[in-house]
Amino acid sequence: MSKLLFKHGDKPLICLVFRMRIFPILILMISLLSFFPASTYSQITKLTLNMKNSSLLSVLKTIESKSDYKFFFNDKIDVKKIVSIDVKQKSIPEILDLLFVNTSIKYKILGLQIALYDKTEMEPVLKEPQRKKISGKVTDTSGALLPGVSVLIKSTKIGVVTDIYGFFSLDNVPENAILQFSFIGLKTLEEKIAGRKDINVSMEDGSIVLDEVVAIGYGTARKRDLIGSVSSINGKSLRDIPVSSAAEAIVGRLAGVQVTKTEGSPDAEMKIRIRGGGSLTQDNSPLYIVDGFPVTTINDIAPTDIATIDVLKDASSTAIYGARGANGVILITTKGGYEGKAKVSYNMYYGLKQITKTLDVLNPYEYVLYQRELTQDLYFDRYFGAGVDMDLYKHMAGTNWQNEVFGRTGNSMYHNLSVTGGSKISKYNISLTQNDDKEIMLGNATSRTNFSAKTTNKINEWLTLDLNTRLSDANIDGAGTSANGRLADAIQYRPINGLMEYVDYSLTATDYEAASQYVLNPVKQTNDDYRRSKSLTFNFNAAATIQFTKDLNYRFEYGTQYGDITNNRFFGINTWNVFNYAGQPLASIQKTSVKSYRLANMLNYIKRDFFPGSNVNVMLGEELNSYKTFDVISSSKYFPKYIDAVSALSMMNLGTPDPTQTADNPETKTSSFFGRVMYDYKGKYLLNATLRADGSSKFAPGYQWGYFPSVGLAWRISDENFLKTAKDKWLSDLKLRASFGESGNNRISDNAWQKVFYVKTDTWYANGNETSPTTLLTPIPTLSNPKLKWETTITRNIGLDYSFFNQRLSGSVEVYQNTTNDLLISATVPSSTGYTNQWQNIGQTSNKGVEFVLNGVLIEKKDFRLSASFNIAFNQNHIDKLGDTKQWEQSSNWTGAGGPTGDYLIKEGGSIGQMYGYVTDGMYSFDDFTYANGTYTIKPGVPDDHTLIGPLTNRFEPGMLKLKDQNGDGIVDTKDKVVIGNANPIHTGGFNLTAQFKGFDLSAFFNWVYGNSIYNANKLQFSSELASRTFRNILNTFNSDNRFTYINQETGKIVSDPVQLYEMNKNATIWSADMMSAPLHSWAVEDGSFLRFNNLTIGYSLPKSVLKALKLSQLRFYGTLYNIITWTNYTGYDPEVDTQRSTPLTPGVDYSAYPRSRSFNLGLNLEF
Amino acid sequence: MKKSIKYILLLSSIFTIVSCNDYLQTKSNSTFTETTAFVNLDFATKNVNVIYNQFTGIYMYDFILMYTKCDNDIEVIFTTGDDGSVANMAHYSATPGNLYIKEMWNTFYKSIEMSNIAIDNLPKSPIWTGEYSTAAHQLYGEAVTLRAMNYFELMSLWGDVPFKTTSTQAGDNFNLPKTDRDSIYEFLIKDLASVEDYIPWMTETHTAERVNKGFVKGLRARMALAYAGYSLRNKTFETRRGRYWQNYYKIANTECKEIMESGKHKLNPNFTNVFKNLHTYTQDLTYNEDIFEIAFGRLYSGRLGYSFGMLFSLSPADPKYGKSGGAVHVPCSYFYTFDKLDTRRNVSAELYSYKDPSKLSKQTLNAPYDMTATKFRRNWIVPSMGGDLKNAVYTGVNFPIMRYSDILLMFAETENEINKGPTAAAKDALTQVRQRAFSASDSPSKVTYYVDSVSSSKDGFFNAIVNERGWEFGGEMLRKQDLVRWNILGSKIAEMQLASHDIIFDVRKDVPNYIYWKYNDDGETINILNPDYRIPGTQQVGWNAAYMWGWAKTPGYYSGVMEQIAHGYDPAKNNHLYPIAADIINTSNGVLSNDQIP
Repeated sequence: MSKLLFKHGDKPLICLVFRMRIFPILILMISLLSFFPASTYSQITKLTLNMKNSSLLSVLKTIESKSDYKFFFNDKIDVKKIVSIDVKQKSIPEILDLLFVNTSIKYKILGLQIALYDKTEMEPVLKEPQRKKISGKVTDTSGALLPGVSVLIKSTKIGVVTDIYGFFSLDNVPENAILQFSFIGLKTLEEKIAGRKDINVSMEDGSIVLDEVVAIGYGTARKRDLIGSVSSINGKSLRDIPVSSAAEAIVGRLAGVQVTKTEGSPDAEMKIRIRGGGSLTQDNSPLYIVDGFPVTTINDIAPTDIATIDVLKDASSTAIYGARGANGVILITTKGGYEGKAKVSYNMYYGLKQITKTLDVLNPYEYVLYQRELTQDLYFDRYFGAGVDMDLYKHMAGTNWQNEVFGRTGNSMYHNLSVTGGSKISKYNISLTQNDDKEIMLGNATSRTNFSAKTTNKINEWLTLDLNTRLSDANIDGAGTSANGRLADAIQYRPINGLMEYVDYSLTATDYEAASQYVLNPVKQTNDDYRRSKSLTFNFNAAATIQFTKDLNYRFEYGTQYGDITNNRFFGINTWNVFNYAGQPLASIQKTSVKSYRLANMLNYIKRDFFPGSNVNVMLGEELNSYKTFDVISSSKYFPKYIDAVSALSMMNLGTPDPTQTADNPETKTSSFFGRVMYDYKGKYLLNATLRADGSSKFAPGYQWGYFPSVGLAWRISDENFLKTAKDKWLSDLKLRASFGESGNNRISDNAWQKVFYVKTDTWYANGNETSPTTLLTPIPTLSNPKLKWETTITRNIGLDYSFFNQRLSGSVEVYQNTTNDLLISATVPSSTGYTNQWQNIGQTSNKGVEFVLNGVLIEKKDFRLSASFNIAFNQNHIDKLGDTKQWEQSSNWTGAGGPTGDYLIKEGGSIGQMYGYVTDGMYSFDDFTYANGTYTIKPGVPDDHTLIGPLTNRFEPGMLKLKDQNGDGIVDTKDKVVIGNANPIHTGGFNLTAQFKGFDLSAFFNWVYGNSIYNANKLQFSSELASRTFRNILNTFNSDNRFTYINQETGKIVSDPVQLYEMNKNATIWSADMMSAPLHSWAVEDGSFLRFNNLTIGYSLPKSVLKALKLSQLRFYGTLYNIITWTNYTGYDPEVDTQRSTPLTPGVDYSAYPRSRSFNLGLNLEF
Repeated sequence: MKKSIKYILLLSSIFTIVSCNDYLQTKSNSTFTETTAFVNLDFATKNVNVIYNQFTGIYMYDFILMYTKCDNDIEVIFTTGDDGSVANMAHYSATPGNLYIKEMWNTFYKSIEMSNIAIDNLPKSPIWTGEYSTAAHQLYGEAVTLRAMNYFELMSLWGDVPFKTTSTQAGDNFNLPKTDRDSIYEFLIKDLASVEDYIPWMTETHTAERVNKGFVKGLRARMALAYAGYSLRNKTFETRRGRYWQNYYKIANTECKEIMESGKHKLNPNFTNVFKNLHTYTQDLTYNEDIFEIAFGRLYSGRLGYSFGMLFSLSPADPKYGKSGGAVHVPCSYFYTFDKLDTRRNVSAELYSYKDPSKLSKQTLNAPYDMTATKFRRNWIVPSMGGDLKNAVYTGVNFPIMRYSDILLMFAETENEINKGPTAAAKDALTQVRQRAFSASDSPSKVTYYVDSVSSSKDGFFNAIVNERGWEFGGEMLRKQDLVRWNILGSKIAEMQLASHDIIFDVRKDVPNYIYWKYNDDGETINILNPDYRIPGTQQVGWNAAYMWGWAKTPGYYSGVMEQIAHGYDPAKNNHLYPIAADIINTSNGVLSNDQIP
C-alpha cells in the first residue's frame, strides 16, 4: 500500500492509480490470497513477552492480542494473581508451562482455544466413577455452533468449555444434575440432564433488542445508544420469508418507510419513500449505501446475502451523509465471515404464480352491438355484416385476451449457496445465488446470478484489511406492459373476428386493426415485441484499518463499481412500431457502461471512561465519490420481414443502420469532509453532533459547497433513580430522543448550471439528401442557471423508545417535521426566452408525521413462542411556498391524443399528488334538453360539457356523461376543475405475527395503506373511444344493460325519439361510452386503501437429534404464500400501483400496469 | 519502524485530500459549451442547422402549423372538432386551453433562441475573420433570416408578441411584454437588408433547402407587404395597416425587381413539374423556381401526400400508393373559379381521388365533399410510398415556402399600389405567370387579352392579382395571409360559401350535375367526359354516370361541413389572431394577456 501512496511529481500517485482499470483486479487478487488456512499460523507462533508484576489476566490478554489464541476459564482461576514473565520467541505451551509452574492451574489447547482449569476442582470429579459421561453441542438460535461456551455443573465448580466445533463432553455427571451454559453476550441457560446422555442446547442472545448493533453512517452504534431515528431489519427476519429483492424485504415492515411496488412485473421499480419525500420535481428516493458504497439500485444484491438493512430517517443520523441524505438513507450490510468452523448453507425455493385478477370486458355480442351503435353503417357493415342477425354473435365465445397474455402459470427458482467461517486472522463469506423467474406474461422472464465474497484479514496487530467483491448478472426478457401501453391491447383487442372468419375471406386482420387504429393482436404483438436487458455489475470494495493506539484508528476505504447494461430491442412485423418502416422489423442495442468509485479516509477516536462515566467517540473523515456513464446506441431498420429477434440483433447491418449515437456523460462528483462527536455519560445522557461539508460538480464554481450540521440528544429516563422501583418491576428501558439537523439534495441533471450543446440527428434532411438526417448541434432544452445551490432539508425529530416487562413489550413513538428549503425545481419560465424550464432554488415543502412501533413477545414458553410486531405511520405533505409561480397544472401524460391534460395540481398550500379534474354528475337526463325535429338542444342554464367529452358521433343528447359546473357559468370547461383526489395516504403500516412451536415456525405478515386516492386511468381509457379509435373493446361496466344506448337492438337503428329512447334506457345506470376525449373526472378517482395479507410462511426445522445423524446443523422446510388476500374497494387490478413516474408530481396513476400475481413457494434452508 | 510506516500512511492520505482541489471540475466530451460550439465552421454550421430543423417538427410545417393557414376561400378543413382539436385552429375557434397553440408558440421561440445564440456567438468566434469569414458571415445571415421567418409566423398568428434579439442569459428578466408588431417588422426588415450581401444566390448554393439571397429578398418583400397590409391590432381591435405602409410597398417592389433583374430565378415552363419534382425528391436547379423549401426526410418527417393532398384509401390502405387522409380540402367553388383551359386547375384540385376502398388503386369520382388540395399526391411519389410503405405517414416531400411566381405577382401588386395603377412592368409580370399556365395556342385570349382587360384600373388590376394568386398558389397555404393583409378575409369566405352553396344546391346551371366517366385502357385512371358542362339527361352510352352536385340530397353535409368552415370567424371583429395559451399567460405574472382577442 505504501508504494501506491508514494508521491509522484505534483499529483499524488494515488489519484492516478485509481483511474487505472487494473486496481480492482489487484483487489480481487488480494481478496483471493487472503483465504490462507488458519492452522499454519498457530503452529509457528512464537511469542516474546516481558511483563513484570502484572496480573495473570493482563498476561493472558497480551497473549491473546499477540496471537490467535483465546483463553477460557471459570471463576476458580485467580486471574488477579500477580505474576512475572520474561520469554523470547517461545511457543505457547512453553510459555504456559512457565506461567503455571507451581500452581494448581492446568491448561488444555484445543485448536485455537486454550481452556484453563483448576486441577483441585476437577480431580474430585474423576474420583466418582458411579456417575455417567455426557456430551453434546451448543448452538446459537440460528443454529451456528458456539465454541468456548462455559459448561458448568450447577452448584459445583466442575465444568469444561466447548471445543472449537461447539461440542463438549463431561465425565462423571450426577444423573439429576443441572448444567449451566454461559457465554458473553448470550443469556445464561440452565438445562436439566434428567438422565440423558446427549445434551444439545441452543443459546439465545443476551439482550434481545438493546445491545443489537445497528449501522449508522460511517460506523455502528449499539441500538441502546441511538439518538437518531433508525429502523432496522436483521438477517433473521429476512431469512424467514424468501423475497426476491432487498426492497421487497422492507415492504410495510418499517414505520415511516413506504415501499410501493409500482406494478406487478418482477423487475418493476420499487418506489421507496422515507417520511414522504420533500422534493417537488426530483427523485425522492433515499440514498442507498451498500457496505459503505453509494449505489443507484439495490436490486443487484441477493436478499440472502444481506445481514441487516438499516434505514436512517432523521437528520441526526442522515446529516453525516450531507449530500443526498435529505430523503433518508438505506444502509445495507452484507453478511461477513465469522470466527469458527466453516459453515455451509444452502437455501432454495421453488414457486408458482398466477394472475390475481382480470378486468371484465364486453362479450362478443355486446362488443358487436356497441360497435354498431358507434359506427352505424359507415364501417360496421364492412366488418360485421349488413343487416346481420345479431343473435349470431350471442353464440360466439370469443377470446379472453387477458388470459391469453397473462394467463400462464409462472414459476420461480431460487438457489443460494454460501460458505462462511474464518479464524481470528481471516474471516470470510462467499455466496453464490441463482434466481430464475418465468412470468405470467408471455415471453417475460428474469434471471439473476449474484456472487459475493467478503473477507476480513488481520495482517498484523495494527493493520486489518477488509475486502469485498460482488458480481451481479441479471437478464430480463420481455417488454412488459407499462412502458409501451401494451396492456391496452389485451383489453381492447376485438374478442371475435366478425365477417373475416365466416364470410368474407378477403378481409384481413390488418383491415380490422387499421380500423381500430392499430390495436393489434396482443399475443402476436407480445411475441414480436422482443426485449432482452442484460446488466452485469462488478463491485470491489477494500478497506484498511490501522490501529494507532488502543483508542485511535485510521480507516481507508476504496470502492469501485463497473457496470455494463445492455438493452436489446426488436420489433417484429406484428408490432405497430414497424408501420412506418415498410412493415419491416426494427432493432436497437443500447449499451451503457457505468464506472464509479469512492475513496474515504477516516480517523476514529473511541475512549471509554474519558472522564469517569463519560464515553466519547470522535470521527473525522473525508470522502470522494464519482459516478460516470457512457452510452452507445445503435439501431437499424428495414430488416428482412421474417427475421427473428436474435438474428437481427446479431447482424445489425442486415438492416439499414442509423447513425450510431454515443454519449460520454460528465462525471458526477462529490467531495466531502465530515466529522462526528458522540458523547455519553453512563449511557444515560447522550449527545451526537455531526457536521458535513459537501462539494458537488453539479453546481457552478462558487456554489458547489453546502454545509450540513446536526445535533441530537437523548436521555435514558429509565436509568434515573426516580424510576428505580419501576425498573425493578416492569420497566426495562425508556429513552427520550430529540434531534435537529440539515441534509442536502443535488439530484438534478449534470449540466443544469451551464449552457451546453449536444449532437442530434433529427427530422431535417437538407441538401437534397432524403435518407440520412443532417447533423445538428442543439442547446439543451433547459435554461442554465449558474446560481444553483444545494436544496436543504431541515429535520426535527422527537422520539421515545420504550420496553417493558423484561423487554417482552417494546417499541417507539416518533414525531417529526421536515422542511425542505431552496427546492430544486425545474421551474416554468416564460417560453419567450426560448426555454420552458430552468432549474431554480425556489419554494419550500414540508412533511410532518407520527410513527408508532410496537413489538411484543406474547407467549414465551419452552416449546412455544409467539411474538407480534406492529407499525403505523402518519405523514402529511404540504407545499409551503412555490416561488413566483404559486401554482401550475401538471400532466401525467398517460395517454396521447384524447387523454386528460393538467390532471394534477401543484399549488402553494396544497400537497404533492393532488388529482385535478371534474366532478362526475351522472349523466344528462331528458329534462336537460329540448327536442325538436330529431335534434336535442340543451336547455339554457343546463351546464354544457360537450367540448370536454367530444361525442364521437356528434350526438350530444340525454345519456351523455355530465360533469359538474363548479363556477355556475353554464359551461363546463377548464375553469370547473377542482381537486378530486389525493395520492397521499393518511397512514400506512404493517403487522407481523411469528410463532414457534417445537420444530414448527409460522410467520404471517399484513400491510396496509389507508386514505389515498388512485387515479384509475385504465377505467377512462377502456370506457371511451379516445380520439375516435373505434372497434376497440371496453369494460363490461358499459354493457348494454348498464349503459345508456341509442341503438334499437332489434332494428340496429339509432333512436332519437324521446319517448322511445326513454323507454329503452329506463334501467341505464351509466352514461354512454360515446366520447372521443376523456377528461379526468371523479368517477375514475378511487379510494386506494387496502389491507393485504401479504404473506404466510410455515416452516419446519428438523430436530437436533436427526440433524446430528445427518451431520447437519440445520434443515428447515417451508412453504410461503404471497399476496394471499387484498381487501380493497379499488376496482382496478391492484391498489398498489404507480405508473407515471417520470416526475414525482404525478403519483398514484394506474395505467397499463403489469397485473400482479399470487404465488406459492416451497423451499428449504440447509446448513452444515 | 512500524509506527513510522503508520504515520507515513496517514500523512500521505491527508496529502491526497488536499491536492485534488480541481476535483469538482467535470466535463462531458459529448457536449459543447457556448465557446466550443462555434469554434470552427463545421460546428457552427451544425448550430445553424438546428434552426432549420425546427421547421420540420410536428408543430411546424410537418403538421400543426398547416392548420393555422386554413380556413380561407381555398384551403379549408372539413372536420369539425371541439376545443383542443386541430380543426379548431382552422375554424377561428381555438381557445387558450388548446395544447397545440402553446406548443407552436414554444417552438417558434425555441427557434428564435437558437437563432439568437448563433447571432450572438458567430461574431465572437475565431472563424468570423480570416479564411472562413465568408462562410461564417453566410451562416450569420442564415440565422438572421430564419429568425425573421419565425417572428413573421408569430406575428401572423398572434399579432404583437414579445420580441428579443439576443440569446437568453440566466440573469435576464424573463418576462418580456409584447412589442408592437410595426416595430418588430421595421427592425426585421432592416435586419434582413443588412445580411443580404452575406448570402449568395441559389445559383451558387445549388439548393432550395437552405436560405439564399433570393429568399432573403423575397422574404423581405413578403414581410414588407404584410406590414403594409392590414391586420387586427391589439387592444384597439381596429384593423389597420403598418404605420409607414407606403414606404414598405416600395421596399417590396425594389426587392422583387432586384430578384427579377438578377435572372437567377425563372419559371419552370411546366406547372405540373414544379410539384412533381417535389415528389421525386429532386430539386429544380435549371430554373430555380422554388426559392426556398422545407427539407423533410423520407420516412422521417413531412406529411405532404399523407395528411395533405389527394385522398387515398385509408382502410385498408391503398396497396399500390399507400394511404392518405388529406386534411386540407378545397371547396367545390374553387375548382369552378378556374378557367377550364388553365393548366393549373387539375394540379390544384381534382374531381377524382383514390379514396374508395372497394376500388383500390383506381381513380374514382369524388364524393362531393372529397375534394382536396392536390398539389401533393401520393401516386406522384417516386420511389413509391405504397406497397410495404403503404402505412407510412412521413413522406418526406418538401414543402415549397416561396416560388418565383410569388415574386412576380408581388412585384405586379406593388407596382399597381405605388403607381395607383398597373404599369407595363406590372402587366408583364402578370403576363409571365399566366403565360406559363396556358398553352401557347390559348395565349392570345387567355393571357394577352386577359391582362389587358384587367389593367384598366387600379382596382381591376388588384382584383386580378387577388384571383391570380388564388389560382397560382392554391394548396400552398399562402391564401389566408394574403386575404388578411388585403383585409378581405371575411368577404372572400362569404363569397366562397355562397358560391359553394349555389353549386351544391344546384342553383348554378353552368356546372355539371351528372358527370360521366369511364376508365382509360390502363384500368386505373379515369376519363371524365364533362367536367365543365351539363349534358341533359342521366345516361350516356359507354359512360358511367355520377350525380356530382346536389348535396342537399345528403342532408346535413352542407350544414355539417360547409357551414362549419371558419365558423368561429366574425367579420365584424376580424378575429384572425389566435389566443396565447393559458399556460403561457399564467406563467407571465400578468405581463401577457390576450389583448388581441376582440
